Amino acid sequence: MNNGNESLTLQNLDITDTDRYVRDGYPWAAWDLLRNEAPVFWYQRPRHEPFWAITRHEDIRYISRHPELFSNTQILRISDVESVRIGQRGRVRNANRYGGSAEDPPDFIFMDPPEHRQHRGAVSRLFTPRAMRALETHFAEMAENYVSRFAKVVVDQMTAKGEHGVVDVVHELSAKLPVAAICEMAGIPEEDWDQIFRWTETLVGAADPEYRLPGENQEQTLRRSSGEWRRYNENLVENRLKTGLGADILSTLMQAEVDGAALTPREISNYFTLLVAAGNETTRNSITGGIKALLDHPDQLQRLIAEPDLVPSAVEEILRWTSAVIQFQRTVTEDLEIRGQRIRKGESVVMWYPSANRDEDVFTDPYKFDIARDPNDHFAFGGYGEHFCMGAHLARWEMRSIFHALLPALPKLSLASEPELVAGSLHVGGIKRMMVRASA
Amino acid sequence: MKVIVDHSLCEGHGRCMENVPEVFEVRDDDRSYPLMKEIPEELRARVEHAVTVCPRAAIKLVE
Ligand code: HEM
Ligand code: SF4
Repeated sequence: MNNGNESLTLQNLDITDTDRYVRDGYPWAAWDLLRNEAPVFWYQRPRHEPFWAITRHEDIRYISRHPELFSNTQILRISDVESVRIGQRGRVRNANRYGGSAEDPPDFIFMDPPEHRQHRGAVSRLFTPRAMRALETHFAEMAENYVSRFAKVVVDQMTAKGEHGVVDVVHELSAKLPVAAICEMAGIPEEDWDQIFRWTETLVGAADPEYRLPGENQEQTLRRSSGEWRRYNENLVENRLKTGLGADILSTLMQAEVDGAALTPREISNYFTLLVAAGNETTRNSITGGIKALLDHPDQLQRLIAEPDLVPSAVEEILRWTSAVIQFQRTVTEDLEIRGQRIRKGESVVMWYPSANRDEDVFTDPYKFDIARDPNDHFAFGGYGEHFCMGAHLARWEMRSIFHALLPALPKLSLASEPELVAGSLHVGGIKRMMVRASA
Repeated sequence: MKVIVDHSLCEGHGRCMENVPEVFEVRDDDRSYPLMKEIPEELRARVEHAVTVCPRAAIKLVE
């Protein structure tokens, strides 16, 4: 594995150039080199503030367990200098709309304990394994419904175009259940789901020109779609006030109390946005990545069909294999050392989750896709600790239902071309389109 | 040796109970409760494992 002819060194490796991500996918070889030769590496490249690149599972575990040393309040992830500026202006507009200051944490990801626990605790009970089990049969029905609609689209294409008939898995299948499930939990009416999908897609993907309207730049796209979404959101709140509160996410936020006080309108709107948006691209990409992984490994697919009880374990392996979230960043609160490197207060550490998920100290044969891998303590949902993904069980149930329902049809599908990746994102590794065809 | 589960973190992921059902019980409030005051030495390795696999890093061992 190598990035071309030039041999890869600590001096020339690059893990932040988004053009390379679109062209070549994740920089696995560079992460391997970092893990082996410089697991705590001071990374300096143009267009980015310098940071410590953390690539080993053990170190990411340590950082995730110690929120008092590694704070979330400053900046959450690296992006290029321009996106950082756009984000700051967005925070100012958000404060103007709802009151408060641009310095306030926009949502609870930006908080440290003890505040973080109180604010996350306002909704976390809606996402526990027990809460998800109550929705299990319902998710299974939705998944079967989406899979059969997908199958119909595939058959129609083949009937119409014969062997030239191809279908995009991302839009016709992977994208559906994540939006449907969270919208249902949020109490958003079904006729609005497509629109919600488009908003979250642009909010996450605005760096990619494909998601902009003609003539718009990245910031204009963001402003337009976030303005539309906020107005929609405010209407929902008003409707709830008129028609009465229920057990849905929005009602729960509207009734929540932290330290005896209700959440502010800004907190309600921002937390709601976080919850509706956080699971869409991530889960969608994990589903698409899982379909690709199974098609690329026919032996594993055959085994899964023969032993469908392995679906939950296969889902864990798919999560590890695709590692949909690329990185999160923390700011160091006091001078400290990791592996003998002296890190100063105020400096940034960046945790590269896909790298942790290929760590040879933790995973035997990490580049082997093994649906029965056990143990499988992957960090696709983050290192274990304070900020561990709140939607992990929701994502798991969605993926289990989809793969269960899709399994019988999978052997008939094949990739029509390599997947096309979303441009400009260093956060979620996105598959924009993945065309498949069916054999008769 | 004792175990403490921090209920401001625990969200009922249940990895503790899967690994050492003698020691941890996740109840209907989505929180894990230690079933023993004093953990016998022969359970140490498995309890330490539960500490590492808890997704919220909510379990502490106190000697
Ligand atoms: C396969 C799909 C998903 C992946 C790979 C994923 C991944 C992640 C990761 C890596 C983090 C950061 C963890 C850390 O900083 O330690 C995170 C946080 C979070 N995720 Fe997910 N996620 C997924 C689905 C979802 C879903 C469906 C929701 C729906 C509610 C969700 C909601 C959240 C929230 C609210 C946080 C912030 C938690 C906090 O700061 O306390 N995620 N996720
Ligand atoms: S594994 Fe951790 S979060 Fe899960 S129930 Fe046990 S203590 Fe709670």
